[in-house]
Amino acid sequence: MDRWMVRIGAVVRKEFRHIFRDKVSMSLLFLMPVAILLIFGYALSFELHHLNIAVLDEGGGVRAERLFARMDANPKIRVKNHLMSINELDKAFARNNVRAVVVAKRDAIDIFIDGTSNLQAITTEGLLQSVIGDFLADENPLFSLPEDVPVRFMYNPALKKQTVLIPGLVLMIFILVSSIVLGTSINKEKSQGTFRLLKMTNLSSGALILGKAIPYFLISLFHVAVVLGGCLWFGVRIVGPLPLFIALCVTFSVTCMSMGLLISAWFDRPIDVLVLCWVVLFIPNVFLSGFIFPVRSIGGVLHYVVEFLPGTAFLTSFRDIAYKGLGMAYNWYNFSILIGETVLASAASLLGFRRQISNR
Amino acid sequence: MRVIVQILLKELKQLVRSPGMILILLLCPFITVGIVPFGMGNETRVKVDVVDNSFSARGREVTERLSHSPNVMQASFSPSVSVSQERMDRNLIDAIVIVPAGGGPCQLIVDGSHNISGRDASTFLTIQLSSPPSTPGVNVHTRFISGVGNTHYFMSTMMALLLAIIACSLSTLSVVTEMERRTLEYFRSIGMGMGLYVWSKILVYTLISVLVQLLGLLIARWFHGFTPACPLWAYLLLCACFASSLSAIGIIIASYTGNVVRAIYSEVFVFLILALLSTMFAPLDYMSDGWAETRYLNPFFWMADGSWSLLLKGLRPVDILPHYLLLALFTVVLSTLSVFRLRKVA
Repeated sequence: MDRWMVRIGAVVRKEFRHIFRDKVSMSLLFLMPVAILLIFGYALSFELHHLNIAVLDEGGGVRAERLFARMDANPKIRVKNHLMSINELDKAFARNNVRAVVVAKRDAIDIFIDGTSNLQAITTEGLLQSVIGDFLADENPLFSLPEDVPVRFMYNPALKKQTVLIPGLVLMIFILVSSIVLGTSINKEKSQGTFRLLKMTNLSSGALILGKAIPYFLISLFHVAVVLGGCLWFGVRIVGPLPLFIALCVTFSVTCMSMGLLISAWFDRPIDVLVLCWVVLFIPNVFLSGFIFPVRSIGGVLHYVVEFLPGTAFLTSFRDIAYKGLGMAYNWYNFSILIGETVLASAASLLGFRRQISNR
Repeated sequence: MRVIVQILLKELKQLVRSPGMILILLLCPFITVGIVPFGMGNETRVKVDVVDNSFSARGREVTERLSHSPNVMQASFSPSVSVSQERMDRNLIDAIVIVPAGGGPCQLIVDGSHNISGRDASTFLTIQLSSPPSTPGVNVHTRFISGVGNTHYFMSTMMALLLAIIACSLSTLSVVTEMERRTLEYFRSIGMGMGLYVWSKILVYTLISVLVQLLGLLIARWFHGFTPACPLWAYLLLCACFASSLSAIGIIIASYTGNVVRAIYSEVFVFLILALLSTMFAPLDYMSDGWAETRYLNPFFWMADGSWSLLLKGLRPVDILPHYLLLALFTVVLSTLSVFRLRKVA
């Protein structure tokens, strides 16, 4: 056992030397998660900031002028263009980057909305309807607006944008950084022939991979610390047990590393690892895991498939622990998905390495 | 010209020689354009508990109205708010509708842990619960609807992402590998100009990316019935402009990093920043003014905006002329920079 530990220790030292020798790669490895969290924590948003519209007066007269002035005064609406006729509608949508055109007629108001994005169209309609509704109610006291329904949001009363951004960005950091760094490192050994050289020593495949993975695991602990720092920085409170939250981040990071390992075990070239990490890990986990689109809105067979994506398990538990304050009793299922996938991916990787070595 | 053709053949041979790469190139459009868009409909589907404190017909009427909505997957009675909150904790429901005892408007409690879906759920449930559902006298006309929620909108995004991954990753790793193996020095020693080298690389990877994109369009048609609303050549020209600028970015990354590991880390970093700020993930109207201005320097934005305009709105190529010109300008500037850099390095 002691000898086994010594061998692994030697591989760990070798790997650390590799990492620290290349200052640029090392800085990228440490700074990338910090930069991603900081830049996108501020830059990205899923709330409407400003809406560019065009307006057209088709016999609305003074009332139309008052409506347009009211819209322009709204901090979220920018009247970019006053159209001269309805024939300019297409041009307005094509060249003026407007999302909607409001046409004030004598007895009605028409709203034309760019429906290419369903999500934006719904938000645009809601905002314009509310501004026009308020205007009509002020103009005519007998006008009846739709009844207000009081809404209370649980777990995130202010609907802070960071509550949806931070888990998603953390997911991206782990899914890309953790999988690519280990995958690339092993792939490099394979393409340079040093993997075979190391196999000639009395190191087993498992010990070799473990030795290579430990330094990256320690770096991923730094990434977990960055995540905690990011939560503090953006005021995202972790309501649930902190050790469980840390355990979730660490488990997810290890799962991602095992996915990178799996790709590098079965594919030989760095380009294969890079493209597969983007296409097989990044895209499905970012777009189907519930970061942007709720998992419940995914129908058919795909719904059952995405339930087993590591990203889905991670995001669900992230929200459960950090925002809802739930403990292990509610999250064991997601943890077992992550651990199960790690075990399966590691076993398949070992199989891949053994197969490759025996083929050569 | 003969040299360019020779390099083109060499690169294609290198690609074909690796069966793994062929498999990956076929797999990429299948996953990104075929499978993933099935999960991008973005239709709001919520599960609701109704707590009837009025013990009247109104509670049944509210439940009935909700269960007939296409956006409500399940609407069921619950004995109390605390029982429903417990169910919300366990992610079994998304919202609780409380019918008050003494009349008045219903109250809504929504799970806000995912603020996009929380807001969507509250919007749809508010429309269902209020009457009249919209402002009288206001007519809404939605234009350019593809008919399947957000699927086609995000499919155009996925196609742009696919193109970028292929063009940028292939060019970065091809050049950096040749730098590591000193093939680049060999090319220099036999008198090949770096301009020729860079342009032939850009040409090869643009061609491959456009071919993969064509396959993506076919898959989009078979799987999702997606038909471009513009002439095909106009879209492919946009793809070629974008792929060439991304290949040029890849070559720049390779020329500055010099080894595979560094190149991969840098590519991931640069790619992620450009993609996330491109409005592919969060729309332009949702960004603050300062961040929105960065789009002028981001080829991803011009590609995404151009493809939405061509594929979904059916605009004419002349309407997006600035997009073509800017992407071509990016290619020229970035490739010139990479030529200077490679001359220095090799």
